[in-house]
Amino acid sequence: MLSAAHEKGMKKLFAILLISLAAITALEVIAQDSDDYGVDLALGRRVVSSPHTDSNYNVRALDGRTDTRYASIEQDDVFFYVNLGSVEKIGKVLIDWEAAYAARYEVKVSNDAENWTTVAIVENDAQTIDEIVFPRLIEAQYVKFRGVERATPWGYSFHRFEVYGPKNLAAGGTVVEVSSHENADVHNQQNMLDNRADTRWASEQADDQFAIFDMEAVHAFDLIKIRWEVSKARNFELYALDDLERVDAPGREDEDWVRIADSAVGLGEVDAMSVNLREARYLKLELIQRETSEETKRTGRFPWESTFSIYSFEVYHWDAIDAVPIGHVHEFSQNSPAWTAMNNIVLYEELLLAPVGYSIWADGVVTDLASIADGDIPGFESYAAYNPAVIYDDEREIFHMLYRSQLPDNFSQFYGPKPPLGRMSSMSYAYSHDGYNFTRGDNNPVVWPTLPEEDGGGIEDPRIIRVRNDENRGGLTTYYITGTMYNNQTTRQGIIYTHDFVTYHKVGDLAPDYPLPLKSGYYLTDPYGDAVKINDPRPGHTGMVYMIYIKDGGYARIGFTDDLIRIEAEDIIDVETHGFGFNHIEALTGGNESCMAITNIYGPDDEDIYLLYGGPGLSDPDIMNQQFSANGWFYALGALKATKSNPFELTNITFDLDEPSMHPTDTNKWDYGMFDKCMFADQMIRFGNTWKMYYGAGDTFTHLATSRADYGSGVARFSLTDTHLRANTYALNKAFGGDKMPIGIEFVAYVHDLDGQLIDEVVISYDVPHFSQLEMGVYDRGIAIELNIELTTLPEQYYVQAFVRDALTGEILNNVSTHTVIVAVVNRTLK
Amino acid sequence: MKRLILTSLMVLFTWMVIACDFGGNDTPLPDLATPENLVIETRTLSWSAVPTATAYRLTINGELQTVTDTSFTLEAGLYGAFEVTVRAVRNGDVSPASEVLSFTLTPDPDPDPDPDVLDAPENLVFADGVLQWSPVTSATGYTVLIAGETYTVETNSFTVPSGLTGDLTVSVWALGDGVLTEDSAATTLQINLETPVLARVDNLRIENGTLMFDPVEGAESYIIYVDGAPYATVDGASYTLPTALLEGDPVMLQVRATAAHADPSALSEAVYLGITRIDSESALRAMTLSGAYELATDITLTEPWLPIPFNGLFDGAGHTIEGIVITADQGHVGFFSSLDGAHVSNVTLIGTMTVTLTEVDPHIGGLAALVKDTHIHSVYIHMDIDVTVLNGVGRLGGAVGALHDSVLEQVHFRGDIEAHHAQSGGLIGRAVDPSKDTVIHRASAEGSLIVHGGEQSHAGGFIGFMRNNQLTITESYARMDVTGASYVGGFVGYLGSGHIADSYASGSVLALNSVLVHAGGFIGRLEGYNVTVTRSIAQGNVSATHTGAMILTGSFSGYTPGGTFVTLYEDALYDNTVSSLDRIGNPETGRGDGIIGLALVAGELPEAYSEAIWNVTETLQLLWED
Repeated sequence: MLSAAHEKGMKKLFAILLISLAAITALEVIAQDSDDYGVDLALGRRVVSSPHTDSNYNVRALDGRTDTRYASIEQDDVFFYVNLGSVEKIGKVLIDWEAAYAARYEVKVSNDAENWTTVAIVENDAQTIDEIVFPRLIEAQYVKFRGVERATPWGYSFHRFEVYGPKNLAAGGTVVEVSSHENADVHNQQNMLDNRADTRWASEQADDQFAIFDMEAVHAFDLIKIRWEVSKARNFELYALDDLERVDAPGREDEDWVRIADSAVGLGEVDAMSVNLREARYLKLELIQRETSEETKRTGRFPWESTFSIYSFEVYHWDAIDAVPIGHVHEFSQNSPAWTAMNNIVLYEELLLAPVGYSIWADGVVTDLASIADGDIPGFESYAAYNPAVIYDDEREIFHMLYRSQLPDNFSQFYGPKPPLGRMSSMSYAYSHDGYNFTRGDNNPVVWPTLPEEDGGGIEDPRIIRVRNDENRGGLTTYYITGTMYNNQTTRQGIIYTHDFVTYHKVGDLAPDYPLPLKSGYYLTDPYGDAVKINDPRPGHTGMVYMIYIKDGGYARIGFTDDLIRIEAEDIIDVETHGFGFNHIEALTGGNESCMAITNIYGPDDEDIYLLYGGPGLSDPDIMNQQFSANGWFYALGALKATKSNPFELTNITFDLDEPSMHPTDTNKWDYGMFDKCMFADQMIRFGNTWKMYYGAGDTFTHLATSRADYGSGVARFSLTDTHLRANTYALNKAFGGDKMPIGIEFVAYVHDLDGQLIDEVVISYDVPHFSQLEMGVYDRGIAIELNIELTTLPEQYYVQAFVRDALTGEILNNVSTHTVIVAVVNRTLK
Repeated sequence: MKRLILTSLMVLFTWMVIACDFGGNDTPLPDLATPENLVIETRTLSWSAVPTATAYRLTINGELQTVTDTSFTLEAGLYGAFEVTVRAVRNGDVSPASEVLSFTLTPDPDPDPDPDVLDAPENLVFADGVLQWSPVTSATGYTVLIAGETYTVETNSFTVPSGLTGDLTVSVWALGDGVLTEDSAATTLQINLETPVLARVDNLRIENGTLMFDPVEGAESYIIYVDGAPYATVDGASYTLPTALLEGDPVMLQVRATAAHADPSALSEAVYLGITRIDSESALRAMTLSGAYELATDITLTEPWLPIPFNGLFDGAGHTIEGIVITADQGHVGFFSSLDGAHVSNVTLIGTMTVTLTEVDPHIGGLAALVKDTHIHSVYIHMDIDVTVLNGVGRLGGAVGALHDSVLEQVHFRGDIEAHHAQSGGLIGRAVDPSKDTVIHRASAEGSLIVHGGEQSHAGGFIGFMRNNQLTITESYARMDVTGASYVGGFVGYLGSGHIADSYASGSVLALNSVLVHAGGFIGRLEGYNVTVTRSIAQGNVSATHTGAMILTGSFSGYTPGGTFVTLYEDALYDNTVSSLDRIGNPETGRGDGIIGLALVAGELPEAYSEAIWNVTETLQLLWED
């Protein structure tokens, strides 16, 4: 965040620039001729803001209409920000004020919706249309209005909030052919290339459609964006015509079509598909399957009544468009201490899995357990494909994933009674060679409800635990799978095992003699998913034992066993009633769920256990949200520490932790699904030098978060002193395994002018000892590192990129952070 | 079984037949008929009348009885078997006898139905294999029930049969005669018959290819063990060694005595076949991994020593190796780099160890860096140790770096230890995660321990880090001045799990960390619940260089878990004339039950402390220290 000193500095700069408008126009800006801008990037996008009054919702400033408006509550400090759906290169922001205009306001941009760069400060004394034009394109995903002072006794109100970037290469081209129209007069195919975000094409109500585009000249491109109406594609493919000389438009089956991108996880809104740089004139979009989940209820249509509908089809040579970077990618759990396995967590750019198939296939076919006894369950994952468990099989060199596949709740009638197996969950299999791109297996689901305990809700939330040379199973490598069995009344912990992910042995209830409900069991493992035996921590016991964290509605039942398929009731300790000390695990996590218990993170007999838990207890009531109700986060993830000697109590409580470790956002589309703003982490594994946390997003999709395993520096934070621009972060050496020697790093800052020319470089060297040698040990977040740039060396507008690199190899060890000073021109037109 | 006692009340009638002579004129009478239908009902005999008979003469079991009626009731009290005939009588005439009537008369139910029940035997006592009790009046004998068998004896004692063992219930009751007296109720007694345990086989020696040993009383046979495994069985106190053993690699021999009705003896001390005697420095340096060695003399080293791994036998025979200088900078560092399945005894090692290590998380120990499945006894380590760990955190002990599954008795460290970045203990660095029991008995550390480092470099006067629910430390002490970083204890730095009894720590305890400290006179941080600390004492001044919310110091423990789950301390003490701190560093959240502070006074042992273990004449000393 910018300091007060910086704000003062900004004021001074703005004053100078207001006077010298002429000077500004001498810079290279996008001409203010609107022909050079693309579509309104903010139209129809997700927005978060201060509360509104009457029915003047915030979305009404983004509907392209001048007769609707957003009106805020009556206070000076108001915010309103838009998620543009992907990183955009922004040239202009337009605000069309209503009578309740702002006397003073700021425009800010961001790439993580938490850290904002101020790009304009505007003062008004009349009702105007304000166009805020940037001297260079700015690369940002979020744009914010921040009210500072109102001009009227009402709140702030504007009819339109629009954002513009460069025009794309396909704008003005021709849509050669589409497979069908819903209504060719109203939603004609040409609407996709008319450089407007408020006109669209719609197909008939069927899968398997297509569109062919002609850019009317050969262009080089590396990015394609599709702006969808609610009726989106889940599954689609992009093709380019390989023949650059072709003049006549190709047909659908032309043999020169080459597939350049595809997606099976389309969530609509804005899809930005990166492709390898290539040239083409003709492009084809194959639309394979429409939206499958019941999200389309909101349109008033069933999923199978949807069309495909697109507002805008855009083609860019993105890398060739210069833009000024700002901010940095979103990071969770910044600079958290060494005992947290993952810190500086970043989300992978794509979803891994989304639901497929239509729920209607199950209508009349899936009726009771007998009807699904053979495992053939139509529509079994048409509602959700989420909550994944992943393990890397080093013998077969493959990642195995089991995910929760789910039938909807009323697959024939939205408003009728739920069938007996509505919302039934099963387990399905997918595999990957790189841990990112997963392919579904052929025999899904692989585990489905067969027992009375599963009759209804099914079997949910798998975790995979491995035992090599398993004495209990004939010396083979065994993969044990815990899953919650739910019959719509009570939960039981189910246990299944397999040796090959082909044949699955369903054992049944893990603890049949235990009288209370149990779910979400996670056996203690190492970072690779191998079960770890610990010194039995129960008084009076000897030897080594396996341990599981398990409970329904809380964290704190802990079970002990020698054989992973069975736990006796007397071997389950209820932490809450056993008379443990004040910081026992239930006291701190009550109501949340055990997600993960990992030990031996840094060595083969480490003392510390890292626990990941999830639940509503982590909601932050200060987070504002107008997306589909709810306050704050519904279901976020937090980290706790226990020990092998005492797994019953927690030891991180007095040390500052960046909680929650990971949380859903207000505006990212994958956080919204069956259960909005829910993150449920099933499994975290370390592969090479990367932690991979596979989790369920929105209770509908499978997503992935990663972090570097051996080292952690959060993105550099900038601040201003009287004389310097300062960058700070921490350097945490968390090497595991072989080498815990100090590492040499360089904290680097590159200073650029707005054209990208390097004008200064600052490098500070540090030796970073391993955390085990630091005073706080596992509680240490690393050594503080800092660099300073003299303000007098900086021009009026510039950007500074700061990062940490390995002094020996030059490898960049953290995420780059950019501090940008850029000032917009504001053109105000009286209304 | 009742015996019928006949009280004979038979009345004998003697009867004389008097012939009567009327002479005269006689009309002859018909012959007298033989009486018929002689029957017995209850006790009354009856028969059919005979015409002209004037009387009837009964013969009852040879005795005569004359009656004038045609019935006769036997007198009360007559029982038994009877044979009766009857004749008719008319004056001097007598008929032939009737047919014999045979019958038996049993006594009527006793009008008094309860014969006396005998008193149950009293004062049942078992001693020296004999069960005795007070005699019971009117008893005809006694029955004893033991181990499912009954025995009948006539007098009031019973010798318990041999071969019975364990806890048994014995019942005795007095026997009645079945008529006037009835058997008594049983009296029971619990007795315990300890199985005798055979004594250990002693004085093993090898003479002329024969293993000889002293016989054990009660032994029926002996099992010969080679390298810890049964090899042969013999009846007598010797075993002729086969050629395979005589000509093979050195092996360890032991013997166990066995008998049918006794527990077998413990394994004997070992004697080695093929032991090599070391009498020079070069011979010492020539030791191999699995050899069996005995020191023949004291040895002074003239060159620095390189650590060697060792799995065999090393018997110092009471000798000393001095001049040990270790500067190795690689691998596991100590006189031995590792001991695995080894036996080390009766040796004193004197020297210095100054090492800087680049290996990750290295192990360092005066005797051995890594010890597994090994027996060590009567070993003295006198070393000054200086360790700098550059890569991670080391495991450092005055005697042993990391300890697993072993037995240590009379193992002692004397010296000054200074370490940078190591989990350190005056005797043992780290002991975690068992496969079987580890025992440390009568061991000690004296001197000083200084550990520079962070939260991971735990420091304990005796042991640095302990997480082993099968580790027991007994009758041991640390007299070490300990300076450490975060978790610092006079005896143990970080106690996760394990058991300590009858041990003490004296010496100052100082913690240097600026934010996080758990320092205690005995324990720095006690983490888990599978822990017992029993009859152990802290006598040391405890302090920290900094103050703060997370700087906790306690006279006994720096930090202890709380709650009501289980009590971890029993009869633990700290000397409150040396430390005035609370018994634990976190009294508001932890549970210090079982620890009290008192002034330690010579001549007075605290309650629960045994004079068989502690020296009552000193303020703080174990009896074995003399």
